[in-house]
Amino acid sequence: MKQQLDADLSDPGLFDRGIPQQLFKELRAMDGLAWNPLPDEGEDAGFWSVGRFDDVAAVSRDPETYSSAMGHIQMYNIDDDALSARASMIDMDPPDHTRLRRLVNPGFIPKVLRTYTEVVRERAGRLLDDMLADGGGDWVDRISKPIPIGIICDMLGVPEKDRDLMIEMTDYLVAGTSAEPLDPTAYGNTTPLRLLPFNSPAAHGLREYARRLGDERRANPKDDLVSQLVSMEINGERLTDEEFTNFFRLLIFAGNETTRTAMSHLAIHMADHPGQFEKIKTDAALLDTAVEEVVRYSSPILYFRRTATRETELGGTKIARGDRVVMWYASANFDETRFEDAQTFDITRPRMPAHAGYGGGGVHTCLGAGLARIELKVLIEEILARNIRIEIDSEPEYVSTNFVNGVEVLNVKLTGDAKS
Amino acid sequence: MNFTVSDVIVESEIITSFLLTPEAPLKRDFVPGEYLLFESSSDEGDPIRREYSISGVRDGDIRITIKREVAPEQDLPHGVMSTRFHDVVKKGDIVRAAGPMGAFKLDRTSDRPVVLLSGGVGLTPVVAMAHDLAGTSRQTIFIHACENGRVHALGAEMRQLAREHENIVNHFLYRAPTAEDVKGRDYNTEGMISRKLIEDLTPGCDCDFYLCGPGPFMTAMYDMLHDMGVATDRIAYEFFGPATVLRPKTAEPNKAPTPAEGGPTVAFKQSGVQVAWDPAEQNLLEFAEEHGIMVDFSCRAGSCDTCKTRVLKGDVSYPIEPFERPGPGYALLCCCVPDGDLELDI
Ligand SMILES: Cc1cc2nc3c(=O)[nH]c(=O)nc-3n(C[C@H](O)[C@H](O)[C@H](O)COP(=O)(O)OP(=O)(O)OC[C@H]3O[C@@H](n4cnc5c(N)ncnc54)[C@H](O)[C@@H]3O)c2cc1C
Ligand code: HEM
Repeated sequence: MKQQLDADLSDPGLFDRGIPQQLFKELRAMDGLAWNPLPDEGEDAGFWSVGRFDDVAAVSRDPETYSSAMGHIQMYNIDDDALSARASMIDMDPPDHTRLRRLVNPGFIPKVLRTYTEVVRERAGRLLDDMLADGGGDWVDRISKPIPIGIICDMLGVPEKDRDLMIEMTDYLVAGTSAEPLDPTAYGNTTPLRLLPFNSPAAHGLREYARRLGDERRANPKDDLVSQLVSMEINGERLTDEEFTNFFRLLIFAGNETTRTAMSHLAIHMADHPGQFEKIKTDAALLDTAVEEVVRYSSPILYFRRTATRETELGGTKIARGDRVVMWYASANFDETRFEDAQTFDITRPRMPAHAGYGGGGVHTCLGAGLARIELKVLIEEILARNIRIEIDSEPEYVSTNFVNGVEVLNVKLTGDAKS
Repeated sequence: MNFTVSDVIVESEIITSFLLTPEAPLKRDFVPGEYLLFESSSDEGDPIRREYSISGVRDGDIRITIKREVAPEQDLPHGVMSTRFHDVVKKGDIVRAAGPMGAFKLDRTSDRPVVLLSGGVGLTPVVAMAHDLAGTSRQTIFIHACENGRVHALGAEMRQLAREHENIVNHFLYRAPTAEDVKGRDYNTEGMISRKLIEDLTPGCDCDFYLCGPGPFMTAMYDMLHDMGVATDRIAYEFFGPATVLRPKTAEPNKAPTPAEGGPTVAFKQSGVQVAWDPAEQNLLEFAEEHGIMVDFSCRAGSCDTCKTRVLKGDVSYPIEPFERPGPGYALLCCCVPDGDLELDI
């Protein structure tokens, strides 16, 4: 009999009030891994839950044993045809993965990312001033949603007029992981939902959009990432059309909901611990550690899954070939053996040991971590520059999914000195 | 489609125009800026295709204007297609071309003033634009840079256009005027296009810019406009060669820092780059990137081994402790810095 937790971690309802800390504590305390049955998928179906930091890192760093390509990277299974229809670098293993990373990496090196600092500052400043003028509102809607999607669109070269459509489509994408039913024909979709990422028709909409934008930039290149992606050649290799549209879609999703989540949690922490953030004004070095702590504590992506390519063992538990292995970053980030007072939010926590917010290490480590760091850093700076006080107006509403630690609505009151 | 060459007009020592009568009406009117794609075959029978921008129309005929491309060095062949046009094609001949096509087009829906910036033979599409704009309410500034009067094409035509239409203003720059060139008559400025010149000619102007010219010209113009604060979506451009993406200069150009007294030097062997180590850099991965060398990477935190690189000479030290240090003779660039002079196999 495989040992189990007393709860079903595949149930989105468990995450309705944030990370289920108590459950994860129990998971980390178990001797081996916990088996989580998925009775809807069959009698023997289920996945292993990995909760301790070191175990998560061991899985994450060993793509030969724990594959991203064989099986899905979310906990539920999908058919093989659906898998291949969706493939972007995040669901690949080396060497396919290596090739794609090589082709897109140049857009994400620190030297390039730094050039977005002032763009972020401009956007964040404007949005904060507007919101201050109103004395508050829904932080998610006014700040955490528009900044990350705005920056991704700036980076890719999506025209301003299409930004709302992008927000709508990404919202709709994540809705595919929640319980709500989706209109399969939205955005002119004709592909069966099961073949689409997140089973969402918005995935079709995004692909079509990417295709059009790519064609446009191929003909008339501009100063943006899309133009670069459709034209760049490295060692005689370039992205195929399909690889390009898949990557575009991956970026829009991966760079958006994640950073949004971190920004929403940032507001909650600033409301709860104003004194901690105040310290940054006199000790600038705390800005970087604050950003890391916000991501650790919010764990925007709760988990990713791998699939065992061979029989193996982890933490004393035997894993069979084909078993699903779920790395709970949201648990690893509170591992008391790695982080002192792990449950305490503390912006002075040293950068090392590093958290698993951007993944447990290894080749899939978040491509956009550098950008996310810049976005969070600048947002904090701009909040502090305006002496903004955030007060939570009503209990935050969480997105109903077990995949992102998203906040749906966060009503706040704001006071401070607008700059414009 | 086939075109009959109805006239050949020598525009300058190196530039000649060809008037072409289409055998059937074009499938649609061309938009100024567009080009035709000419097809021919090489001596070996391989197809060769070259683009030539439409530089104007006359009595329903389409005009293209071609520069003779000569070999940059003695033993190399001259440009195939342009030489053929200059030396072989004559009045009455048939040539094949497809189009009109292209994405570099005059935006006729805008009502902003227009600045047309060209270098050398890059003037062809913008001359067509100037004709289209003549007599409209849009102020049009035509700025053209070339070597001197001997190679200046379509100058008389542009002067006439400016005389006849109030909204067209010319400004010609010669890099090296000859004794025959008269300032004020043939050209306005000696030298190259400067930021001051653009600012003087377009004071406070919220304009649409169209650029066409050789690569270095385009890069310089694009960077200059960018520095002036012109939004990228106000700048349209065409390269007369393989398309390249213009981006604003990002960070400061990479100046190799002068080595601190006795500071280490890092050599990237395969890339042929040798630079003084900058102690302000966090690690060798970022240092390499600063100098334009792209190293494969994933995690940038010592856990994935992607940036593991062979050390040919010297040693490194690890201010950031990676998950596992690589074996002897290798370095994880994202976590290490040079410990004395270093040679890497990238
Ligand atoms: C959209 C567009 C519009 C254009 N419009 C115009 C226009 O209006 N007018 C115009 O004149 N041009 C225009 N061009 C450029 C034109 O299409 C041709 O590229 C140009 O005429 C050269 O073609 P070619 O066949 O003569 O030379 P190619 O045979 O392509 O050779 C190009 C150059 O390379 C040199 N060369 C040949 N072999 C070598 C070698 N082994 N090593 C080094 N160098 C070598 C040749 O001597 C020549 O100088 C346009 C291009 C584009 C893309
Ligand atoms: C706080 C914000 C963010 C968090 C918490 C986050 C989290 C993650 C995690 C956990 C992974 C690992 C996936 C795996 O191991 O399978 C990942 C991968 C990825 N992220 Fe992020 N991310 C964030 C922001 C961004 C941004 C801003 C971008 C893009 C601009 C981005 C693009 C990507 C991409 C492309 C991958 C796949 C990398 C690969 O497979 O090699 N992310 N991210």
